[in-house]
Parts: sequence; structure tokens; C-alpha cells
Amino acid sequence: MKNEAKIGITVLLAILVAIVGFRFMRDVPIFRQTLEVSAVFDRGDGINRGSLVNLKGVKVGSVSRVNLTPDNRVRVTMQLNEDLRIPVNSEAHLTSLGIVEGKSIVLHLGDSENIVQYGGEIEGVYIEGVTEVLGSKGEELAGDVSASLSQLNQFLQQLNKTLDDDTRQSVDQTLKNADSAMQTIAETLEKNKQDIDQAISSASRTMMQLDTLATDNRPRVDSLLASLEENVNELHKVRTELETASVNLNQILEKINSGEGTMGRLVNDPSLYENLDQLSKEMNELVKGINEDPGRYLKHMSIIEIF
Amino acid sequence: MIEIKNLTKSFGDLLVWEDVSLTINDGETIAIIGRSGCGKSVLLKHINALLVPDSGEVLIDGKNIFDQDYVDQRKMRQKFGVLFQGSALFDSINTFENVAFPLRYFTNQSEEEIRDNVMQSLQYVNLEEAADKETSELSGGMRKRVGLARAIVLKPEYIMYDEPTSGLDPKTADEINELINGMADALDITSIVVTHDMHSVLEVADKVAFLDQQKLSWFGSVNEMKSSDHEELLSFIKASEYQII
Amino acid sequence: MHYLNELGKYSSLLYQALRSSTEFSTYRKNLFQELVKIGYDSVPIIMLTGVFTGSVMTLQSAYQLQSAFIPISTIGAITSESILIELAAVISSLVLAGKVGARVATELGTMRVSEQIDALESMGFNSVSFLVVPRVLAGILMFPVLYIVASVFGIGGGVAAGFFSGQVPPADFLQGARMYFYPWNVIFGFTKMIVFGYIITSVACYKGYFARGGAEGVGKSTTDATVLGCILVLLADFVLAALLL
Repeated sequence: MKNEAKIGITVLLAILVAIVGFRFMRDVPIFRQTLEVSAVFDRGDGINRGSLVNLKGVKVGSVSRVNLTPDNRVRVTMQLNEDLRIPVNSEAHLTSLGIVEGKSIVLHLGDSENIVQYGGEIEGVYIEGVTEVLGSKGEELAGDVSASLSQLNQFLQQLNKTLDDDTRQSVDQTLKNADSAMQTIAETLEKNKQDIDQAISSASRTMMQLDTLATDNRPRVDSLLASLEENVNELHKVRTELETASVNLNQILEKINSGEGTMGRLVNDPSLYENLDQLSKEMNELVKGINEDPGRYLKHMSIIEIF
Repeated sequence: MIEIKNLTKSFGDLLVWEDVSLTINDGETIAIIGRSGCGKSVLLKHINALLVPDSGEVLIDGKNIFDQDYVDQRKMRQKFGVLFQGSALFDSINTFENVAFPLRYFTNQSEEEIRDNVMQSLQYVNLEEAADKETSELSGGMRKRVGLARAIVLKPEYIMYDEPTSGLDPKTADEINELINGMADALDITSIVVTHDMHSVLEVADKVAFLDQQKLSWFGSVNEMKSSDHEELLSFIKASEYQII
Repeated sequence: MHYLNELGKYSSLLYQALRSSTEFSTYRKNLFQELVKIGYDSVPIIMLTGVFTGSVMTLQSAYQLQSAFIPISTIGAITSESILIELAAVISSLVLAGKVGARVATELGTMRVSEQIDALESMGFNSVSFLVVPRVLAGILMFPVLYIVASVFGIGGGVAAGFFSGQVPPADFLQGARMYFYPWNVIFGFTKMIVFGYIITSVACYKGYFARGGAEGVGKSTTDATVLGCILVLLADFVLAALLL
């Protein structure tokens, strides 16, 4: 082969490869014509030449130019596969496919009969990405959180102030007193139950003695009876009243014994007291802790401010 | 005619020779002799301005070659054919192309004419059969002859031989001496031979220039040399004769 | 002082080359020869260099970017951009300083010590235009072509290495490569290669043209040409980056 031919081949191939490579790298289809479509967005963050254009998850082209329009919006020009048929009312969404992926354009086809021609324009919609939303909302959010935290802080401080040691002890004491009062009531009722029983039975014996006395001294008794009758009648009433009172009392005592009702629970369930006791201790510790190192509790909260 | 006037040359601090003056008439054959390293070849390279002197001039047919601009200087160089010590054949091309080389660049001859001229030159040096050989296949004597053929192909007025017989066996050296003589007679050419081979001097030269002790120590005809009483020249000749015997 | 002398000699040689670059007929044939030797003949080694540069670059950036938060296409972007802006030009030039620079220095050095350059001059050639101009010109013309070869094979090698090692799918690699493809990088690479081509060939010509003292001198000029070529390429790379980026 002659020298000239070798040089010719080398240079020609190099130029050819350079042109093909250049078009390839700029993602302009190497030999085919393309369908050029543009869309105007409010902003163009993250989109640049070479960004992909997807349709239903399939790559159909790439961005060839990004520039500002006279009214300060962003015109993105795309080179799409030539055989693509895009209705005129389609939308181009500028969005990101994932958190870490770059931005790309996603086409959403419309339903129009008319097809976009070469150089045509479709609607552009800028979709805010996760990071952007977080970015813009983040400040508000952070403000809210920090306000809440400071309020909580104040509350806890006040609580701390209120619940100084004496007060806490007296609360403790009060609870203990309440407990012993309950016990006293229960004991009293237990004792009285026997007394009441005795009272009822002795009343019953007195009645029987009175009956015998009345038969022996009839005439006296008759007059007496007449007067007594009234008394007896009244006594009878008293007795029935007493009887019902005794039944009611019995019922009440039974209920208390079996643990029904607030009083019953108070009397019968020691865990309640224990819980109260524990709660008060923990509260004590928490308050002490916050008091000593408020930053430790606030620091964990402050992670939220990163957004 | 070549007139060398008051030529002085040094390389850095090292003086080669100074105040060399020499006239070479047309048709003469001059031998420049001297010990190795005395600057014979350096003097030769001044004649066609391959080297530039510190001072002095070289007049070729009355024109100082160092005063010419580069283009004219190159034209003047073409009046000289040079046979270099190592022949200086271009090793990337074959024998024929080596001889044809100047023709291709400096004449507008057709391929036919080039071929004729090259073969004619090769005929002078009796090497027609080696035309298609690569230069690497040639022996030392053949290389000298090809170099000579190339030196004469542009039909120069002067021909300069740098150590034409060095490194050759006596028989081949004799053939080269004959060629030098034949060339001078046949082409009516002025020859300048740089050599330390006294045998060659006696064979070819009309005049002798002896370089010694950084100057032109002696200049005269061969016959004058034979009867000279110049001490250094005599000792140089004597040493050479012992070598020959 | 010594370096100033060298610089002066180099500059005057290049000035002479520039002045005689109009004598196109003198070096036309040599230019084509050199275009083949520097361009065509260097293509295989440049392909090899490119492929290895690209694949090593890919594997190493893949190794360094093993993180869930960096998209895999970044590897393609890093590899292709490094190749286009730096590696295709500099690595190739260092290889060519060995291949082209050494050959040119040896050729010219041998021609100098075997008096072939003197032979050319004595025939009336402008040896600078005949020897230096075509080589430097071929370097300037062919290095950018070799840059294209190195880039294409570098990126190709990167894609292949990513694919065969299973670390980077070609589609991701190319997406990253395209995302960060700036035409300016290619123009910058081209500019660098033109400068490197000039540096390597001109330094080699300078060292070879002024070689002295037989085989050893040629060896020294070859070594000097290669070493100096490499150093100057790196220096020029820095200067160009400072000036143009």
C-alpha cells in the first residue's frame, strides 16, 4: 500500500470515528434524523444536556439544549426518536426518578388526535423532588419543632419548680394517708358489722319478753296493750326499717369485700398504690434528669432540624 | 578556482588551526595531509561551508561562500561532489536510489534520463551490477565507489575525497586511487584529497598541503615534497613509508 | 549558561525549520513517510494504551466508588472525562515519546554521525527542511489523530472492563459519560496533542540533529530525546491546564 493511501485511511477513519463518537457522546442519533420537541418549565434544576427523556420507563431520547426564555422560564429542547408519535396535549414532567438519581424528563401522553410536529412544543410541568419538598418545608417544620420543644422545656421547668422536694414529699404523704384512711374505714365497718348483728338479735329477744309479760297481766296489759299497740306498731315499723337497713348494709359490705366499686378496688388492689408510688418516683427522676441536663433531651430532638 | 584566505577555526577553547591560506587551481589534484586529528576533514568541510570559520574566507571562483545567503550557498555547494569518510550512503534506500537521489531533487529529468545518468555514474566506478543491491549488502570498497558515483552524478566542478582509502585493503585502495586519477582525467575535474596515506598521495596528487601544529605547515608540489628538508613533513613521510613496507 | 546555549541552539534550529517550511517540494515525500511512521504505524500501540487506560480507570473508579449513594453512572462519567481531558493525550504522548521520539532521535543522530546530514548539505539540500520539518509537521498533524484513537479505544475499553467485570453495565457507563460530556474537553485534548506532538518531535529532532560522537552519542541523544520529551510533555500539560482551564 502506498504511503498516501495509508495516511488517507488513517485520517479518514479518525475523522469518521471522531464525528460518530462526538454525536454519540452528545447523544444525537448518529445517522438518523430526530424529532425535536421542546417544553417550557418554571425552573430547570438538575436538568442539563444529555439528561434522559423517558416515556413509561423507556428511554426515548435526551435533552439537547437548556436555555432561558425571555420571560425567565426554562426551555428544554429534546431530541426524541423520530418514529415517536406524541399527541399535542401531552405533558413533559421534569422530575427525578429516585432520591439519588439525577433529574430527567418523563413524558405523559395526552389523548389528542393531533401529533406534535418537528420543533413543536408541549406542556412542561416541574415536579418538586423529595429533597426539594423537604428543603422548602423543612424550615417551617424545623421552626415548629423547635417552638414545641421550647414550650415543652418551659413546661418541664415549671413542673420542676412546682414539684420541689417538699411538695413531692407531701404528695407522697397524702397518698399514703389516703391509703391508711381507706384501711381504717374498712376495719371500722368490719367491727360494726358484729355490733349491728348483736343489736338486731338483742332487739329480737326484748320483743319476746315483752310478749310473755303481756299475757300474764292481761287487764293491765290490755290497757297497756292498747297503748303498747301503738308502740309495737311503731316498733314493728322500726324493726322492718332496721331490717332493710341491715340488709342494705350487708350488701354494701359484701360488695366492698368482693372488690367491687372504687372503694373495693382501693381496698383490695395493692398494685394501684404501688403504681402510684412508682409513677411518682419516676416523675421525680425524669424531672431531676431534665433539670440537670436539659441539652441531652433536646439534642435528640434537634436531629429534625437537619431537614 | 578555490582560494582559502587566512582561515581560522576553533571548537570552543580548542584551536584547530589558524591562518590557513591555500590556492587550488582548476584541474589540479591537491592532497591535504597530516596526522589524525589535525583538522584535515575540518578544513575540507570549510571549503563547501559545511562548517563556518571563526575568521577568514573561502572564495569559489572569486565569491566568498560564507557571504552568500543560504539559497546561494547551497547552489555553490552543488559545484562540489563529496566522498565522505564513511561514504555516508542513505541506508533507507538502495544503491541505485542513492545515486539517483540528487537527480530526483535537483533536476527535472525523466525516469529514463535519471536511469541513464545513474548507470553512467556507476559505470565510472565499475559497479553497474550492484545497482539493485541494498546499501547494507555492500562491502567497504563498494560503498566508497557508490559514494563516488553519487558525488559525480550532478557533474560537479570540484570533487572532495575525505580519507578515500582508509579502512580498505591495499588492493582496493589502489583501485580507488586509480578511480581518482581516472575521474580527474576523464571529467576534467579539480580534486581535493584528504588523506594520511602517503602511497595514495604519491599516486594521485599534484600538490600537497601539510597541516601540522595548528597551521598549514608546508605547501608545494609532490616533486618539491620529495626534495624538501621540512623536518616534520619528512618524519611524517618516513613514518608512512615504514607503514607501507 | 549551558541550558541557555541549548535553548538558543534549539530555537535557531526551529527558526530555520520554520523558515524553510515553505520549501514543500523538498520535504513532500518525507512528510508522507513520516505521517505514516508517526500516525499509521503508531495506531496499534495507541489502541492498546487506550484500552488499558480506560479499563484500568473504570475498575479503579468502580473500586473507589463502592457506595450506595453514588449512582453507578458516575464511574462512566469519571472514566470518560478523565480520558478525554487528560489520559488520552498525556499517556499516549508519553508512549509516543518512547516510540516516535526515540526513533526520530536515533534516525537523525545516526545520519549525523555517519555524515549523511553533511552529505545532504553538500549536495545542496537544506537538511533542516529535508529532515526536521517533515517530522515536526507530521507530529503536529498526526498526534491529534492519535488522540481520537486513544479516546475512542479508552472509552471503549472502559465500557468493556465495566461490562466484563460485571461492575458497570454499559448503558449506565455511557449515560454517565454523556451526562458529563463537554465539547470543550475534546478541543482541549486536541490542543494538548498538537502541542505534545510538536514538543516530542522537535525535541527529538534537536537531539538527533546535533548528536555527536558515534554510537554512544546516538544512544545519548535518543535517551535525552525520550526523557526530555516526557518531562516537557508533563510540563506543557501543566502550563496548558493553567492557561486554558
